[in-house]
Amino acid sequence: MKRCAQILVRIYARLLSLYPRQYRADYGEELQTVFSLVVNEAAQQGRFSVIRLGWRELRDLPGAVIREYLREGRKRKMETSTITPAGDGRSSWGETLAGLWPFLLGPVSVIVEYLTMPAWFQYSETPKYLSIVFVLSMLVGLGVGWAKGWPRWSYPYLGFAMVVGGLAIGGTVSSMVFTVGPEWPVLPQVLIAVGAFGLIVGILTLIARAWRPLHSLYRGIRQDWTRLSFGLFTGMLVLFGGGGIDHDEDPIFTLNVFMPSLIVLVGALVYLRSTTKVQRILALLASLTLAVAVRVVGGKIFYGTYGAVVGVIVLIPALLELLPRPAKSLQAG
Amino acid sequence: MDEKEHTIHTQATPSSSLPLTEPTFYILLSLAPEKKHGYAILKDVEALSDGNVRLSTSTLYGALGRLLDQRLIERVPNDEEENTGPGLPRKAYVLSEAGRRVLEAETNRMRALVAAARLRLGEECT
Repeated sequence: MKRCAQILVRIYARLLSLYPRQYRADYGEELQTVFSLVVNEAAQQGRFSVIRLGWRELRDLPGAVIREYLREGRKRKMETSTITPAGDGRSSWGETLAGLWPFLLGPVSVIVEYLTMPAWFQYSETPKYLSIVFVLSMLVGLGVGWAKGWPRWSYPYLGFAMVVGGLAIGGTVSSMVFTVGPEWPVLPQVLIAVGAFGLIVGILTLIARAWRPLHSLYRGIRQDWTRLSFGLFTGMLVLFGGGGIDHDEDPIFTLNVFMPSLIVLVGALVYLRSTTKVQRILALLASLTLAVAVRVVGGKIFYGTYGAVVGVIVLIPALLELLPRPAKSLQAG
Repeated sequence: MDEKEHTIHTQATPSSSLPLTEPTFYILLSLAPEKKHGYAILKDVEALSDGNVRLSTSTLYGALGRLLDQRLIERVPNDEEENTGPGLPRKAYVLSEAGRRVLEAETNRMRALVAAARLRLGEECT
């Protein structure tokens, strides 16, 4: 029985590695000591006591581990919110890279596609593995962003999910309303897409306000509305054909197709490295205007209309920052 | 861990902390007369509850962590002779003033519940 107790103590020591690092540093030794005492006592009482003890510990462990991670996350969030002034501060280079990843994936996929595609094969869909990488990246970004309390870099992931959701709903409604074909009226479709998109943003904001796990998202947006604009800025990737892939072009890899995506990427970089809200608004405005202008000058006039619509949607939240704020909302942030 | 490391606290008021869960109540009750280390708390909770509440180590330390965050207890060195020795935890826990107030408030709350129940059940019996 003594040997059995020793084995249990060893297993328990291994299981402690499931806890957050800081928690292990604080309580690991104490937990092990107490467990050793408890298991030795149970061993003296007999086999069933040891089994009961083992079952009790195993049953409670997963919940306790999850609670400790959540508690640590909350502590970190509170520490961050006391250290970082509301909405200000420059993202670190690691955070910047994480925030740029959705914008980088498009151009990277074009380069990979261009380099790996046979010369005679000019028209192709994006390779499936790139789509998988893209979707997985988005899910990971959303998950990590949520766990870390929605820092600034995570908004493109959220924005991309909203843009895709808006397009899916808008597209479905459009296909139900209009007959399939090249003669679809453009303006009503745009209005439906914008309406669906606005609906998604509104619903998300309401959920974030009402549902405790998303409160940090709501607080983050209230603190700095440019974050929401930055998230919606990923709509530019969709506008420019998934970051530089334009299958109407022949060949698909031209500077004209690629440039707007690069401008959007630089805009996102400037946004993440800027220190004031005015700089952030200017970064979004300048890159939006320049990217659309390049496309229009390049011969695609209709990008002017789409760009204007997308640009207005993207910039509306950021422009809210220019309105005077009541003192209460500043404190609440 | 040094007590000063607990920089992020949410100070609990008696009313905001109530009602307490059964394990939390027993842990605070166990610490009411004197400071104890984790193992002593486990044994005392079992004894106080007539063996009905047997805490696992993870539940105990989860509850202790929350109580520390709420400043209802404090973590101190386990330096008393009878509590020290090979194989015993080197840290102990002590009830804070705020913890004592919460414990008293919870006891009063339960006393009122019991009084109400006795009154009603007594009326029905007669």
